[in-house]
Amino acid sequence: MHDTTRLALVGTANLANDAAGLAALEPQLLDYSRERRLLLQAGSLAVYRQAGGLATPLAAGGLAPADTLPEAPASANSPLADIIAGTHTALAPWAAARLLQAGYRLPARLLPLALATAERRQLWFGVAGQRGQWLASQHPDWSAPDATPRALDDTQLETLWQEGRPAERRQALALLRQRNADQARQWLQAALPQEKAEQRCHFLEVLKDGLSAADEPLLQSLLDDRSQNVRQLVVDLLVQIPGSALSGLWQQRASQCLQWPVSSAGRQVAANPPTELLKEWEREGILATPPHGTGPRAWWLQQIVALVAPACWSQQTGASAGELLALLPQSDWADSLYLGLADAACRFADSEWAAALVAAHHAGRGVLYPRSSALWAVLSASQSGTAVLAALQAGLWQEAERGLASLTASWSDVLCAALTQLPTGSELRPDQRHDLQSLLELAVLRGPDHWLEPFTLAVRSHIQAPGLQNDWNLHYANRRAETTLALAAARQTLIKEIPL
Amino acid sequence: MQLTEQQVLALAPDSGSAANGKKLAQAKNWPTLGRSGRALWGECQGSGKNPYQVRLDLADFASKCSCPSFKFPCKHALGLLLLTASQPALVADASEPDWVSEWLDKRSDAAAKKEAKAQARAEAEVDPVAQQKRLEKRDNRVRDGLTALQVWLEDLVRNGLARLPAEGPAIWEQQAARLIDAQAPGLANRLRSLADLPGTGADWPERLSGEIGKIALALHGFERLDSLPGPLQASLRQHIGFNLKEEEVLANGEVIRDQWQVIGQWIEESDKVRTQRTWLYGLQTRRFAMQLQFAAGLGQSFGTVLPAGTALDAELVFWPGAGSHRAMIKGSAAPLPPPQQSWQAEPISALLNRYAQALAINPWQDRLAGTIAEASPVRHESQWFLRDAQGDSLPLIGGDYWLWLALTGGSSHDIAVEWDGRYLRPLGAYINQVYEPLTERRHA
Repeated sequence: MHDTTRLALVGTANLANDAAGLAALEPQLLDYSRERRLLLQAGSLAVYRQAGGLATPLAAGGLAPADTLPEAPASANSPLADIIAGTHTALAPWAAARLLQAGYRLPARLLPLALATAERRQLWFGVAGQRGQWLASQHPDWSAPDATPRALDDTQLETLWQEGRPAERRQALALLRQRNADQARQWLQAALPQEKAEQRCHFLEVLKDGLSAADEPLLQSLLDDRSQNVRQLVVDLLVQIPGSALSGLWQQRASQCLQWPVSSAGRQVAANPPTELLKEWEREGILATPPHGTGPRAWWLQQIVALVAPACWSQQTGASAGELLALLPQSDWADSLYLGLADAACRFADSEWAAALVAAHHAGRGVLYPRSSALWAVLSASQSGTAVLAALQAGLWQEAERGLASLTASWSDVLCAALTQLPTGSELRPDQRHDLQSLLELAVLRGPDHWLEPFTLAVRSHIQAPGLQNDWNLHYANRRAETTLALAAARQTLIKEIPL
Repeated sequence: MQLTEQQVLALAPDSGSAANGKKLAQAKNWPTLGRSGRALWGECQGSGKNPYQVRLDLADFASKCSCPSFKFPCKHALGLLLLTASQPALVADASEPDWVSEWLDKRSDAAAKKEAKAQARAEAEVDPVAQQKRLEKRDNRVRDGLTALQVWLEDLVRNGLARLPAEGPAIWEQQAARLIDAQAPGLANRLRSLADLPGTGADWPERLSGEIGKIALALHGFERLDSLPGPLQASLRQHIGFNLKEEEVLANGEVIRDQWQVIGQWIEESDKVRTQRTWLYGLQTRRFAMQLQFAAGLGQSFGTVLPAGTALDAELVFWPGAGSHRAMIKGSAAPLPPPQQSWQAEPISALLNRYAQALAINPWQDRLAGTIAEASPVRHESQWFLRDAQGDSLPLIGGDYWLWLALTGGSSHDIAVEWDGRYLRPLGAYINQVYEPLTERRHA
């Protein structure tokens, strides 16, 4: 600190000595008070400093590597900005995929917008180009999604496992499991006792990838874990290991509770859940206390069935999933069995059983409603397509929407045509209109490009002139249709501006 | 003259207007569109029966719209400019409808009248005795105010600045109010701007003692005003708050005709008033000029609009003073094709030299404009710097420079800046032959 500043800070009343200012000025200041001398010196010094200010020498910043892909045409800037961060974010997955397919990268102008949040980076990083990757590497908070480089060697991987953040540790573990499953198990075994329950689950989930008999001893040793969540996960994994002791045990126990009639139709399925829950069974995966509104025996039965691969029942009886499900309605325990079988179909990813259960749901088994989305996700593409079409024909629009949402393959023309022929008109109930609009919105977002126009027309046909009464439902529906039309228009613009 | 989308968005009074303007920038909203050598117009279908009539003077981008919005430019004017920027082919040459030509004629009449009025006022017979008396009265009032201020400043350093962070901003406000009463609004603003300084940043004692020292220098100078060189007298009087009327400047100021490049624009927002600084650079005279405009509150117009990145052929009239760059347009300006590059870019060392020279002739000089050649933004320990080809760097004022870095990828360009002795404020960059405003408030 300069003497003058110190004197001003402390005050001339508190410091007897004058500060040495600019010597050249001193002779002109002799006649003035100490305070005035100080002020004039301070002012002059400030001007001196300003006038004599020098630049800081700094090393050059880095240069972004050259891009190989061209930027998307500038005419797409404005719609893309709306899709990245404006009113049309619903189109983001589609738009990012289209850029990638068309061989474009995001225009540099949009990069700060597209990289600003982790969620956006997840979507757009792949089309950010060299410029975008470089820019993200310059910014302290714009880390690339899934930042673990595949190229880490084993030592670096171990450092990451020992010292990284939880998400990085999990990535390191998953990577090592692919390279050296034995060692990954050793890491896990050593680390688990020190981790909190949440982290134990987090790390154990890594075992889902490449689950095998070799994992059985480790998992078996965790059956008595302190945390219920961990125990549930361990049971879930153990029963999925083909031929594991636990899966055999549960098949055996389930067969005691549930007897299917052998081959000939017309006979009932016999369910006989235990009247008391053995400690052993509870330890090995059954939750004792049922949720509100469910009896304990029904609850146990549901869980027991859910622990057995449903393909077992088909094998045991030689009957198809559909044939066996047809027997359920007569049983007193039908609801528990439906739910248990649905959980099992999802757990063991059995698409045949899932398809049969979806069909049963559509035929009126309302108890399956909460499992519907999970079941759709297990269906194969062709099963989904058929089931969606069936749901559309049956007027089950919400189900059709769930099916379409899980459909990964491209939509068939028959399916698209069915979507353009959905009912319209004023006789629809508000909830029906809502479901139809959701369905069409999905069509506008995900349907094939060449069907966008017919879909748009279908959306437009849902706009109705308001009647004499001020109908709030109609007003809402019309507004929603307008929103969907705006999305369709944005997508149409991008299709035009970013040709494939 | 053609503006880019970014330049148009930089004209928007707020982000809402910018977003609404974007929405209107579609051909379907404009049943009528047209342009002539001097104007651009269109009719925009709003919710009402009659479309809004929007007209724009291409010389200075002043706009008028029949909509009731109090924002300037309104969303319709922005929409028209954005549409013209993105699809110039839509706007064909046409003969001006009456509602356009009448407005343009009225505007040029008004400009002419203003000048004539200034001329008349300057030539008007005034009672020299009465005027002298008025001036003396004001001078005395200011002198009394400054004497009181001198006493207050001496008190400050006698008791020490160390106690000020605990005192709060009220004492500065109080003194500023006294200076307003004493008709010295320039110094009043200066004092007000110091209110938050005590305790802010590690170097506040040095900055604060420097700033009050500079005020003491101004008081010292004013005591012996007659002994200072003429231009410095004018500068000091303006610094203290003897504001000149525009008519006086028009009548007596130095007039320079040149091709002026608009190198940048910055709007300073405060509670009551928005101040816009527009920097121009004369191609022939190599002189910088600053147009200073004020608008009360949000939404009010700054009057004439000179978008950054454009150029015009015009006469500017300068306020008197030592190294004065404050100026205004005299008469009407003719638009020139937009420049694709800066004509006079300099290294950072040259800017610093010019700044030192400017301070030598006027120690109260606030800021200079310039264009730094071949410069790029560099982040160093979470502070942004502008670095030129020589490796010289100056700190950039706090802001978000990621868009700039995204556009350039770290490569160097000519950057128009404002330098206040502490921080550089980037105004615009010439990237790929296009002027890119770097002051853009984030509309996204």
